[in-house]
Amino acid sequence: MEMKATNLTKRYAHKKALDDLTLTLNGEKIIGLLGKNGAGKTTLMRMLAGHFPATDGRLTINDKAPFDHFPVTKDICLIMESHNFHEKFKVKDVLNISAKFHPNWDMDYAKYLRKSFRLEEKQKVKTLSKGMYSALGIIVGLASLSPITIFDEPYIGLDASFRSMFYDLLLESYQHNPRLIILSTHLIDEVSKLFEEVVILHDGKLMLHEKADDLADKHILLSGNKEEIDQFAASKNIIHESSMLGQKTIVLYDEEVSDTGDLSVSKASLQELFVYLTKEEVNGYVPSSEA
Amino acid sequence: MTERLKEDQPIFQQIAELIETNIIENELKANDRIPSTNEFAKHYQINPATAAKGINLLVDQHIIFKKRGVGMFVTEEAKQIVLKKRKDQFYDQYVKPMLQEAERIELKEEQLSTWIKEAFQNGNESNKLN
Amino acid sequence: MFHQVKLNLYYFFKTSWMTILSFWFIFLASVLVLLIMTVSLGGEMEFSGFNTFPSLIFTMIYGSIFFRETFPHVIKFGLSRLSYTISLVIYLFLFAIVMIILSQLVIQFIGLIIDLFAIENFQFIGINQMSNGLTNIGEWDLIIYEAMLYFLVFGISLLISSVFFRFGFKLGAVLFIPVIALFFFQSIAENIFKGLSYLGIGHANYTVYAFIVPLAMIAILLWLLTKNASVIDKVSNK
Repeated sequence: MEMKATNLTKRYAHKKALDDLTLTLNGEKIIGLLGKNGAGKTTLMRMLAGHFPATDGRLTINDKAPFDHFPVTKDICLIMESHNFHEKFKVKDVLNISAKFHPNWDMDYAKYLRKSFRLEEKQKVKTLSKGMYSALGIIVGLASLSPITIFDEPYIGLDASFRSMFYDLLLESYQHNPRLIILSTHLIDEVSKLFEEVVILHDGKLMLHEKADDLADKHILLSGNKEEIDQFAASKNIIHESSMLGQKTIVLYDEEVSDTGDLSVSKASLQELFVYLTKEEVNGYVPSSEA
Repeated sequence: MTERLKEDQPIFQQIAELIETNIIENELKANDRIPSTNEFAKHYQINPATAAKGINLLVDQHIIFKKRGVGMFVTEEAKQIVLKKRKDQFYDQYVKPMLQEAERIELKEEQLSTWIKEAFQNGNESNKLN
Repeated sequence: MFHQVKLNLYYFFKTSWMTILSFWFIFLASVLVLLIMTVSLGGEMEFSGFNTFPSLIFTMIYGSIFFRETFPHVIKFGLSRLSYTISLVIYLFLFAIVMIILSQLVIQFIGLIIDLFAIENFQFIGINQMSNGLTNIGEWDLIIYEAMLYFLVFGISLLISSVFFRFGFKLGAVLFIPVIALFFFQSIAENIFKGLSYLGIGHANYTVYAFIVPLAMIAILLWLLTKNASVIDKVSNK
């Protein structure tokens, strides 16, 4: 499986959701798709599933465009936060219908998952709680065994215990049926360990695409005496710094670093890295009465 | 192997260290089978590729060897290799920070060496009791 | 393509069978209530009903929601837009046939009750029994005509709702302005009405084959509308 975006652009009436994005994802991997709200994650995933055409550029899956092309789209299962299923159906109907549409569907597995999430067959989609609606999406996504399975924030309303179960099930399913799984999330701390690769979108552009394990080598968190740090880090790519009481902590990104001397060396988590890379500084709001 | 993973260190490295520690503590002996990447992935809720990277680190250092279709096993010389490695790292990882802190709190060298001697003796005694 | 059409029709069937049956059930129940009322009031009230009108209204409403009930869902499942359009045309046929069958069943059933209890002040008929004044027109012609009406009404409201789905409420409304404006030009309006006369049963121009023209137009317009359509409903932005 190879998914390739070349200068991909998607413009809505009022804003550019994707801006000249070039990105290649391939293999049977679990890939984390990260980005702030509005960075273009959902747009990219929906275009992969053929929901709408590109404004400009090219998007291909195994060299074929997914838009309006059944031989490609039949192998893709996208589960979104909402609007996955018709509200008037029962849980049972959703599973039966999904079974018809997904060529690799495993009904025994779907039933096993349904029981694991304690969903009732007869319950109507409309009456499901947010968490249970998410669970139904997860069940369909996993049981579809689609060669490309995409989850866009699939656990809204799901409690920590069920979420952890989802991660277990995802890993287990991936081990039994290796496939390209793209997972978009804001709960980075919870799922970062599941990723083999990480993609960060920012303002509709590609900010970063790395193997998760290499990200650890690409950055370094240094702390120590302020002067020493400043001297060491002069003209280096600092993505984050904070100082207090003569001590300073910095995060360097994409720098060859050796001989750190007395400075203490550590690593930031993926969530911290993500925040450092994408956060915009606030300039400090001053209420007008104080001005 | 139930230690929890830390956030401030690459996961594959932690997996490798975990296995090493098990080897030097004799939990894993020469020719013992180590858990598969999938077992690691499941237990720690991590990507199998990450677990594989950690294990491969040890394969490269001849601490572990792979038997096709059977699994991965601890080599004869594993313990020696790990011990040597850990000893090489000991000064940087433990002695240096200790001396830094000692200097910070104005601890005298004599005091420090007395403590270390005492601790060694106590340690030996408690080992004998066991 | 055949496989995709089958999947489309399967989905259409899944979303629609309950709705269609519910309508006829409610319809039948309300006719029966009226019947009981009429009978219990004795000869003081006369009732004569006609079933094609309510079922055409149902067809209109149902046609206007059918597009957004199906299009985004089957496209999300990966089916192609062409297969959707083809399946829609097939479905329109099947829908008209099912509606005719159900409508005839309801009429026969009520007729049976009226006969059974010899009720005289209650009349309930279908379009095929409306032959007063329409000589030369057989019962089957009327049944086919009714089917064509379901077909046409469903198609038109489907088309209108798909325009709104695709372009949103404002732009959609703007697009209909030129269509309405056509009627203000007398010569064009006359031609339109002349064209419509071919669809009016009882009119000298009438021929059932004339329905091919509007139906083909609906099919082509639907294809043009869905060809590059997004699954996002521009009215609700969902």
